[in-house]
Amino acid sequence: MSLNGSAVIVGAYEHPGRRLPGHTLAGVHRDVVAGALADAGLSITDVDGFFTDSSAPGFGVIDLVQHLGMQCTYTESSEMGGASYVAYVGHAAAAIAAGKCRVAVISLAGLPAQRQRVSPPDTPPPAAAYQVNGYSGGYGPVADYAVLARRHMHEFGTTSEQLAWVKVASSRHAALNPHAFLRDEVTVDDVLGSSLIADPLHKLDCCVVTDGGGALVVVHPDVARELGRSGATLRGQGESHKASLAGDVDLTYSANRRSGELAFAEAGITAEQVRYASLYDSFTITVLVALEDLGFCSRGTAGSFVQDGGLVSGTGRLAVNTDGGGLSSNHPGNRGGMTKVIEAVRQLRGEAHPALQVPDLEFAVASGTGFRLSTNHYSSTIVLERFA
Amino acid sequence: MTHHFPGGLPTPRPVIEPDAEPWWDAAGRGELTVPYCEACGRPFWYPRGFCPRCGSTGVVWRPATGEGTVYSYTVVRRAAEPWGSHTPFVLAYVTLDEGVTVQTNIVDCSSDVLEPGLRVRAVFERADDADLPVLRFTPVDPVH
Repeated sequence: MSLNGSAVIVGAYEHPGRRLPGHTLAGVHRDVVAGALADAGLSITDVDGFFTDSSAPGFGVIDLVQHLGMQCTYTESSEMGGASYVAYVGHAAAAIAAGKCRVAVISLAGLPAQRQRVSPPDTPPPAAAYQVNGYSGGYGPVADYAVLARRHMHEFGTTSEQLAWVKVASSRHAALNPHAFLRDEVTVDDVLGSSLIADPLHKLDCCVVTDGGGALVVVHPDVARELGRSGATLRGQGESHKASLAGDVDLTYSANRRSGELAFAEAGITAEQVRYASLYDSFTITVLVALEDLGFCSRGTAGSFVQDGGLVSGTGRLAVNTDGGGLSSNHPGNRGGMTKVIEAVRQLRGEAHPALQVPDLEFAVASGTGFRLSTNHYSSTIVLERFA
Repeated sequence: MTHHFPGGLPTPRPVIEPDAEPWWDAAGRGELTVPYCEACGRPFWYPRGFCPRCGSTGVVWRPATGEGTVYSYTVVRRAAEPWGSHTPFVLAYVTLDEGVTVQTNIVDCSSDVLEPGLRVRAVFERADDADLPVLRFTPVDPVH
């Protein structure tokens, strides 16, 4: 069974907030689900499938499903970190194709700036005993990506200036997004002049920490045609796990390589046909690795691909993260996959900022990675086509 | 500016899987071993009682040379406790001469020599006698 054409994203909503004191996770879920359903022209009583991650308040998804007033015949709360919401689009399409549901809602809510974060698991993973972090305090995720950046520099001659260009492009996009957390345009020198967190990554190589969330409505194509709302047809989805834990370590590529191959194969198109991509940008290096893994440029060349505004919409080589991405706009709940799908849908609908809209866009890609790229991570990639 | 990264980093108490006790017993004597799969013949990391590639439970624990090469590294300048009071410190991947790559720290090392390709040797650190030995590495040829 192929998922090509099996479902359509007809609703997409991003919470406008970035700092939400006084809010609860259940409240943010309610806000974004209502927003996405209103965008689609559907109501909560139409929903029969619900997908969210393991940070949902209460027991699994069940408490949230009853709180929101849904009658579901299909639910899922598998945890893939920031990749979850990209993967859920495929999982929802599979459930729809199997007849398990017809109107699926995917929801994300997070309040990390309010310190409402999920506690680490009580039981550390078995690898922790042989690593220096485990779950016992750790050295933070920045260091985990910094070792990727160092290796990319060592093997391919990538420079800190090239990494900084990813942030510069995102800041130029965010300057046009009234909801972006950081709206000031920055220069390469600004990035290189910001404090080092873990060499070679500076503070401005890192994504923002924001409250908020978002939701998607994924429906059977028959439902989409009845609604008459534009959207995005799922053409392909892939996902993959990559770990280094047998002792074979190659930090120069990620699980995006396999998830991208699967998604493009299912869609029957290639990266050359894609003029907009939402690429996970937890850190600047995350984008470089994804560009190579997904085939937007060849291995080792992402540094020159992104420099001199390569990712700026309209003038660059490829329009990437036109909402400002996680680096400048939003990374709600420390999980970036949701906003990646939302901006891809905006672009396919022609609802991105006019100055950043890719004209006559037919195909878009959204890709997310979850957990830590240097050790154990998961990826999902989707290929979407304009649905009018 | 040259910086010297000292030893004495935190050694949080890990949870030990029972099937990896041979590795910890050797580490307690200051000996680095590497698990090899008897079925497919290859070394693997991290230690466990089965081969993550083929699933065989025929595992032998062979003494390692204790030397390896830095694959990549970072200097961590901001971290939560118990690491925060030890910044800056070095997080690295080291490829052992046996072929497996290990996530670790580089200690007692000068910033002048720190780069991928640096030759290092294993040391075991424990912040307290009650702690378990944690595998770390230091330059084979220290430059101070």
